[in-house]
Amino acid sequence: MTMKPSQFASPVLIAGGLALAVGGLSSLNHESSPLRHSRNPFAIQGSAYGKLLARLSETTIDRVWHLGVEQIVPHYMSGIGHGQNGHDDHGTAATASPAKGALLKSAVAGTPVVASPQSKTLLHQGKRWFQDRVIAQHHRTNPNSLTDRHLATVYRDIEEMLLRSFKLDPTHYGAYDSYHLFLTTHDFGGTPEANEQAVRVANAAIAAAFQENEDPEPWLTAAAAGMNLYLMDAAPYMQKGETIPLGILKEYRDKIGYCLTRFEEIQAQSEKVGNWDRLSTERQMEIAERNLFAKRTFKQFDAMIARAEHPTTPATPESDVAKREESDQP
Amino acid sequence: MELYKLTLASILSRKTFAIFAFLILTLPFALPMMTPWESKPSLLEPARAQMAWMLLWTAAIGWLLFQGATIGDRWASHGILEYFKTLGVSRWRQMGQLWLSCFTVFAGMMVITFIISTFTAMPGDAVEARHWLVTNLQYVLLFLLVIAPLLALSIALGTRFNGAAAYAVTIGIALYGLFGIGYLEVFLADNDNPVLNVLYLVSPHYHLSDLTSRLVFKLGAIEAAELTRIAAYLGGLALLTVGVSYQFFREGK
Repeated sequence: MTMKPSQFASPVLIAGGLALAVGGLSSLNHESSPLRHSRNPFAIQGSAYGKLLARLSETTIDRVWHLGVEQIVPHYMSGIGHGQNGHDDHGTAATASPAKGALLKSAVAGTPVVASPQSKTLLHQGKRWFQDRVIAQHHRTNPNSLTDRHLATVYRDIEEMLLRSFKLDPTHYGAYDSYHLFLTTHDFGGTPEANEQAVRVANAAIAAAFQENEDPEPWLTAAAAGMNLYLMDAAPYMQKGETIPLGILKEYRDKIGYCLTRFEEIQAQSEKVGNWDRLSTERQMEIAERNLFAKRTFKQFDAMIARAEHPTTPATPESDVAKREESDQP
Repeated sequence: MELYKLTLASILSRKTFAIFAFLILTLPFALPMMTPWESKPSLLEPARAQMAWMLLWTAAIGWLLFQGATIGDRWASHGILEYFKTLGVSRWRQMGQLWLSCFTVFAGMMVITFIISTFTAMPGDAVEARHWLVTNLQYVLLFLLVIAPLLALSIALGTRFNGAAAYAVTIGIALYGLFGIGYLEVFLADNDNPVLNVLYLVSPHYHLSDLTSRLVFKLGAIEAAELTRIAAYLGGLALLTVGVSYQFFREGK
């Protein structure tokens, strides 16, 4: 029985393909640059879609935070703002922390909180009806709060979500600052490892801003990251009651000052080419307020450096800062 | 080429390709507008190219491989392939014609993607524009080396098993090669288990064909020597897949 050439083709392809793949693989996988997955399929992280997803994920994190840690109905669901209703706000849930094993009496007693109707029109009443059902859907009726271990899982989930959101858009102020706050707040992180991570995250946020010369906002994120790095560096001295070394003060004055200067340059340029006008008034005001806050905190550096350089002069730092603040006002 | 014509007519009359073609034509222009581009309009153009390529991958995994698996299943179950066998159409020719009929329609989607990605997002700078064009051509090559053999595999598995199983296996391999290996790497970071490390090496590293980040972050074209290495590796996998597919291909059930 003779074999047709077509019957050989498949084994030849398999053998040849294997040889080629092994050859290609061994040349790809060398010591200097080993074969690695980019961990960023289709370049989502850092792209325009990454920015979108980072903003969208805020709601998810907010929901998990309120349902898991605060153990109340998230504000965006209930339509009830912070402090509008003492009956079911952060304060009451916080006292019922699982560590104390307390019961969530206040939140469980009676029926779910019903938001007060703001308008009598049928349309608003209809919307209100659905909102009340959403509140009831997420209202906690279990008299016990989460156990310590369950709460630890919730913290870890939130950390993962915050990290993911930061990776999607490292230049986003909300994504960076909420992650930093989470890492450095004693109840959730505050461990040496978490602080190390906070330093890495701050450096990543600054590095991301340095790539930016069109959108001014990342430079404000970088300024906030610089400020956080300064506070972390200065913390040991402040705890001991020592003065902060001049070197640290000058280093961060230069770093943060550079970020704020770049923000103003790019913001002016953005106004000139018309990008700034495309933002809503609310967004413009939000950015301007954040800039003002960053500038005010930054001004303290000059006062602190002056004090460190002339330690003999009578120390009235508060009045010094206050004077500078006053001179700011138009 | 009768089998080719018959299959192509069947695909065209089913019209599901039109949904994906429509999405590939419109979403690269619509979705970038949903991103926060207002303060940075230069985000829009790379986002267009990025979305065009993401949709092509989606169409390949969601439509093309499914089409191959069902056509293989249907033609083998209905005795069409047996009939062509009696006409003297060899197994290789049958597989080739089925592959070509599915790919003819998909080639149209590839052309749309290439045009959107290359010409509606081209950088202004002449050097960057050249790099952009070359990167897109390189991307087409690597994409073909991954998807074309997987289509042959889905057809062949369809003729032997049922369509759903053939599709599940092929997209499983594709998704594992594109995304799953990244998770395996995380797992291997602090794990010296030789079995898992060998599994890592013999896995199909399809993620090497994903050049989207080179477009989005304007990294420039990949170097010729490196491209040759990746193409040789993916080409080897392609030959292997086609060879294996032939072994699975059956004219009748």
